[in-house]
Amino acid sequence: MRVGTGTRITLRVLALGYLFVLVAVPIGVILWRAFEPGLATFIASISTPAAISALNLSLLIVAIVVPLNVVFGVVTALALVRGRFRGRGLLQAVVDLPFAVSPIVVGVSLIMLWGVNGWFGAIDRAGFQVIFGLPGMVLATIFVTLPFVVREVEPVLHEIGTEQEQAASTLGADRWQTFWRITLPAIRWGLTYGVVLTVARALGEFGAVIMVSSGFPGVSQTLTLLVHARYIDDHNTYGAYAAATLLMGIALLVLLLMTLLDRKRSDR
Amino acid sequence: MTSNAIDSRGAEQSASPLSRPGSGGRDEPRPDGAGDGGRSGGSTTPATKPNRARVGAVRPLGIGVVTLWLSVIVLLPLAALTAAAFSEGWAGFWEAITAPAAIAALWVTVLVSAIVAVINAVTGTLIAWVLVRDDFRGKRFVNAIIDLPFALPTIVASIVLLSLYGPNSPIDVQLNATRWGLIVALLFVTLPFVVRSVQPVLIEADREVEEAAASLGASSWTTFRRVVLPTLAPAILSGTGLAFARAIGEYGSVVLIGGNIPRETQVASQYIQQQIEIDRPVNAAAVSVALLAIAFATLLLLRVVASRTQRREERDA
Repeated sequence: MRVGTGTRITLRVLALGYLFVLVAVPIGVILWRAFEPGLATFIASISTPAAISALNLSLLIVAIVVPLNVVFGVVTALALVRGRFRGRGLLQAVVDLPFAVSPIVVGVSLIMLWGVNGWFGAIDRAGFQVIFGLPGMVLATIFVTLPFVVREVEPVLHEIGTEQEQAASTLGADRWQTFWRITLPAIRWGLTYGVVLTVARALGEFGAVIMVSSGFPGVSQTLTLLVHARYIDDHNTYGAYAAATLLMGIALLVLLLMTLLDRKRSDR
Repeated sequence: MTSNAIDSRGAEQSASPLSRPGSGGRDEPRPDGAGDGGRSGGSTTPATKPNRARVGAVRPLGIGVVTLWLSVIVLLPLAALTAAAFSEGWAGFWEAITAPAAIAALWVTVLVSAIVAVINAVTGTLIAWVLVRDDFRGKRFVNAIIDLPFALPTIVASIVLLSLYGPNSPIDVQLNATRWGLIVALLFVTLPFVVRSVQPVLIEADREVEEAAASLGASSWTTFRRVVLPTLAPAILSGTGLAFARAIGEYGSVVLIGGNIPRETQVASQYIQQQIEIDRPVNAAAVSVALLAIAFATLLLLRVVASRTQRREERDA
């Protein structure tokens, strides 16, 4: 399609203008608002005891969720790619399910299952609090991040096939040796990409977590809940901007990592 | 020994009724052949003893673990949700989702999401076109910006938009607690869908056909409408559908800017959250199920359209 210079420039201005108003300006404004009172104020605002405990809780959730997602994600991907069993198509659909479920609905579902009046309410009544405790937040985060590792590892497993593993076993390697020496190195970039996506989503999840957290500052507040509470409950608008800026910094870091990893994957 | 291994493999394969021939990457004969070549070397025969179970195969234990994991994490919660929604029977479910406030929230959600999806179809295609066919300084940077809404936590998106369009707006545009606020927030979080689904198709598109149309005297608008748009249509539709599905469930980005005004800006996710807070779990579960049903219907429709398009393409080819 040959487009005249005038039309091309017009389309370019329209597209860039839209992105400018929707994305660039708001981000510019929040950066300006967060750093305008000076770097010292910003740092003070994100290092209050409540903020530090929120950061720690967010990191703790990531530290629990990532290993679980890696182990079960790889096993799931292996089963989906190499297994031949009844119901495989169903499992494929279940893995994608979390993408279609609203975060709030995730929270409600967990309450219906693990809450005091839920199916597994006996666990709660026995004194092990799931909902309004750390386990609930972990379960919510696993739910929303479940597809990432599976969906990133799956195509790599398809691509590498089983030839090398067959060769390794012919040469006398046992299952574990084959996995550690052949399979894992082959899927490592896909796996890393999946982990990065998981970390980003785990740190940023809000809707599902707020439903199952008691939200006490310093106890059960993650970084995203802190942003919300500062804005709504404390009317501490600056504090909310500062905490949001911190989260945005993490998101930018993740985006950068993803770009680098993408290049690495396509190099392979 | 060798034949034994192959036999067990063959048995396992034929025993599985669901094995689909020709699905990519799982073609077994090739690895078998390679394995045979290695084994007929003979030097490693004793060492292959522990590996009679097919290498790379998934044992029933693995499948059991996966099923259990997916059930506990995903299926059981959703089953408990559905059971709770129908705990007072069909009548209770129907009553819960037809309560005036619930209907209003669902209506606002679908209306706003549909508007957002349509805007995305236009702007997303425009942005994809500019990113693929145009050339200017900083294009790579703009391309990277597109993914930002995916990387940014939704609550941050909310705060970011409030800082510009909120009560202390530096440009004096106040969208908080209006439907426009909802639309802007949802446009922000759904920005990548259409762009990222149209971009690769546009890169692959055959430009010779466009040149031919132009040389036959078609104006660039006609060429776009008759040649480019039909090629892009499936991608635009799929991106738009995904954006819609995302928008109807969205919570974090609208919770601060939306204002949660019943019948005006309260979306379904906020209504559900409110029902949990005032201890009406059946209402919350019922509207959750309704929301899920809308999302599933959208995604199912997309899949049907996609497979139909693919079949038509295969027939034409």
